[in-house]
Order: sequence, then C-alpha cells, then structure tokens
Amino acid sequence: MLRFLVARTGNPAEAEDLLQELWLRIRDAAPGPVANGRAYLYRAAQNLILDRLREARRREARDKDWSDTQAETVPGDRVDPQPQALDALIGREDVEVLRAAIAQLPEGAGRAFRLHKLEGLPHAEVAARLGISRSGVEKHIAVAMAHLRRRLEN
Amino acid sequence: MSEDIHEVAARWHTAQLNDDMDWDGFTAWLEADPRHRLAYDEIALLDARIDDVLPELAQPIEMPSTPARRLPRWAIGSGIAAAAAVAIAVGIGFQTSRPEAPAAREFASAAGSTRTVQVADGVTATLGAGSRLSAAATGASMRLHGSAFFSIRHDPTRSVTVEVGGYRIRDVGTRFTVNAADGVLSLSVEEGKVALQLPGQSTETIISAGQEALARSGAVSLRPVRIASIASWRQGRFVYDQAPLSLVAADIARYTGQPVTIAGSAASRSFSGVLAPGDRAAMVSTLTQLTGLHADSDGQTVRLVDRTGG
Repeated sequence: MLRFLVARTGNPAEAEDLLQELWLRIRDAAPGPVANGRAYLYRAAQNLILDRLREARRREARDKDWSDTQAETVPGDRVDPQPQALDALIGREDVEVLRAAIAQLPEGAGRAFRLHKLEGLPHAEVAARLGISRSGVEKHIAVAMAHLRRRLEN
Repeated sequence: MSEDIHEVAARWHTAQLNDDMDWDGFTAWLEADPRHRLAYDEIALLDARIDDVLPELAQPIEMPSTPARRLPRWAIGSGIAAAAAVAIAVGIGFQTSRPEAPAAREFASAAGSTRTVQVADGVTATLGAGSRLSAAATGASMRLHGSAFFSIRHDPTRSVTVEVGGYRIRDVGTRFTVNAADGVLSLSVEEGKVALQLPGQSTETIISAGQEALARSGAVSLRPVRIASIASWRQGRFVYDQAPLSLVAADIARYTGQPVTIAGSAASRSFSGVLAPGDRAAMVSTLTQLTGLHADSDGQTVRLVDRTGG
C-alpha cells in the first residue's frame, strides 16, 4: 500500500502521512470486516488523495483570487473562505462549459460516456446496451475523458 | 504519443470501479514515468469536476420538446434499435439525440450504482442502487421505491412529501436518508427535522437531526445515529448499526439487481457491520459469516434463513 501511495503522490513523506490517515479513517468508519478488502482499501486511498488534491487546487485558486482582487478590497474584507460557496459559484459557470464539451465528443465515446456518467449505468449495462464488450466501454469512456481534458485545457 | 498518456490514465481511472482492477499494474504504470502521475491527477480532477455538477449536467437542455425522441425511461432499452432505424430513415445521425430527458419525472438508478438527481429547485435526491423515485408534479408528493438521501433547501412556501411503502415523510428543509423494504422503514436525519406518518395512521412522529426512526408493524422507535454513517452507501459502503436484516437483504438485492430474501425469524433480527459493495455471492457471504445465517439458493433467489431455528 505504501508503495502505491508513493507512486500515486510522488512524495514519500506525504505517502506516510496518507497511510496514517487512511488507517485512522478505516478504524473510525468500519466496525466490521469488509468483503474484497484490498479494492476497498485502494479506493479509500484514491478518495483521500483526490480530496487533498482538490483542497490544494482550491487553495491555489483562492490565493490567486485574493491577490487579483486585493487592490479593490477594503481592509477587513476577505475572500469567502468557504470552499462550498466557491464551488457553487464555479459549478454554475462550469455546467455550460462541460455541457458544450460533452456535446462535441466523438459519437461512440460520447454515447458510452453519457450512458455511464450522466445516466449512471454500470459499465456492464452500457456494454449490453451498445452491444460491445465491457473493456470496449472502458476504452470509449477513456477516449471521452481524454477528449474532454484536451478541450477544457484552455 | 504524449497525448495518449491521458487516455491511458483515464483507462486506469475508469477501471478502478471494477473489483478486478489491477492495482499492482496501476502502481507500476505510475512508477514508470512521473508524467503518468500528473496525467492521472488531471483525469481524476476532471472526473470530480464533472461529478460536482452532475445533477445539472444530467438535466436536458431547455429546448422545444420533440416528442418522437422523448422516450419514457422504460422504453429506452428496447427503443435503441427503433430510434436508430428512424435516424437512418430521416438521414440524421444518432448523435443528435440529446442526453436522455427524464421523461415524466421518473428517476431510476441501476443496480451497482447510485444516482443524484435534482427533483425540483432546491430538492436533490441521491438514489441508492436499484431505487426509483417518481415526482409527478410540483407540489405533489414524491414516491420512492428503495433507498434515497434527500437534501431539501428550506423554503417556507412549500413542504416536500415523500411516500415510501405506505409511509409518509413530510419535511420543510433538511437532509435525511430513508430506506424501506417489506414494511420496515429506517429514516435518519442529518440536518433539520422531518415528520413521519405511519401507514393507516393520522398522527406524525417528529424526527430531529442526529436521530434515526425505525418503523415496523405500526410502531416507531427513535434512537441516536452517528451523522457520519448516514447514507454511507454514498461513499461506497454499507454501514449498519443495529439495522433490521430485512433492510440489509433489500440493500444487497437492489445493489446487485438480483433477488435476496430473508425468511422467518431472521427477518426481525438486527445486524451491525460493514458490507463492501460487490457481487451478490460476495455480499451474501460476508453477511452470513457475520450473522451465522445460512444462504439457500435455487439458482435465482438467495434466501437467508436462521438454521438454529431461533
């Protein structure tokens, strides 16, 4: 697990810290045994890393907003420290941007992506609907994500 | 080749939903090149960014309605071939069909996945796997089959009502989760208050934040609940604290999309523990190990029985 955390974060000290937090979380959250414990543990680690990553990005964005707006703010005024408020604001603008990008996905990838992501169908069900294999669905979704990333890069 | 890194990263990202995800292979891929990790970060962040606005994104774009394309949910599966045939006949591509509109305000989640929908302005519901919610008209009560977590913004001009298995839940602005099966209902309130009316009764029981109501056979009992474990299935696991086994069996059945029943005295026993989502065999096996129950299968339905007869 530590090896995975080091590989995933690229930072041995952060990996150690994450491992600690992971054990704490699991101890607090799960009073009983868990089936397929390995996948559960890795997914929990992935969620934890993502949380930290998002927090770091938010902080960067806030610091930037702060320095961008500082000239016009009066002393005592602060940038809203609540991540939820900031997220909600970004969220509203983001919907249209994402919607437009999704509308321009290549046909097969777009269809698989919409069924899985927007409709919430599991891969196996998307596969059955489109008459392709599960790995074909995953390939489509990966192509869609890569497309979206490129489009949203700027 | 460098643009392909993101596609490979996305492949790994999407594969981790599977129980057979190759975590060692993923680790090796991350170790092979530091750019892999950065590409993966970007994909994971993008996916989270999409998840953040999923309720809005899943809503259809406001456009004049085109009835021919607005198929009811149940018709979508069988309608794909027909829709494709129509598309060919009129010479337009299939991609012109928009993300499917939630016709008739009926929302459903598939087995194995949850789904968050915006039911009305300020009313969001996260459906547990294999659950269904219908909202006929604004102001009318919603009907739920299965489990859902509701988040309702306080608005003094309205009251939101949810009907599930004969129970009525009335609310003015709160966050709560509800799960019902076989006449048993569990309702936990995270924030605010809700009023619960039992089948065939006219009085209401008020349930406040941090409380769970357990109702069956015309009686309701209240007890404290840990806020952190409310609707734990949203975080990808089922956490139970003294939950009726009939609700646990119903959760497994809805999650896997395969029938699981519980018979006799076992149904009224309660269960504490954690189940990880998985296939039916794995989830049932964990449950039987923890409870000492026995699982009988006729190839279709798994029946959980108490062998000790107690």
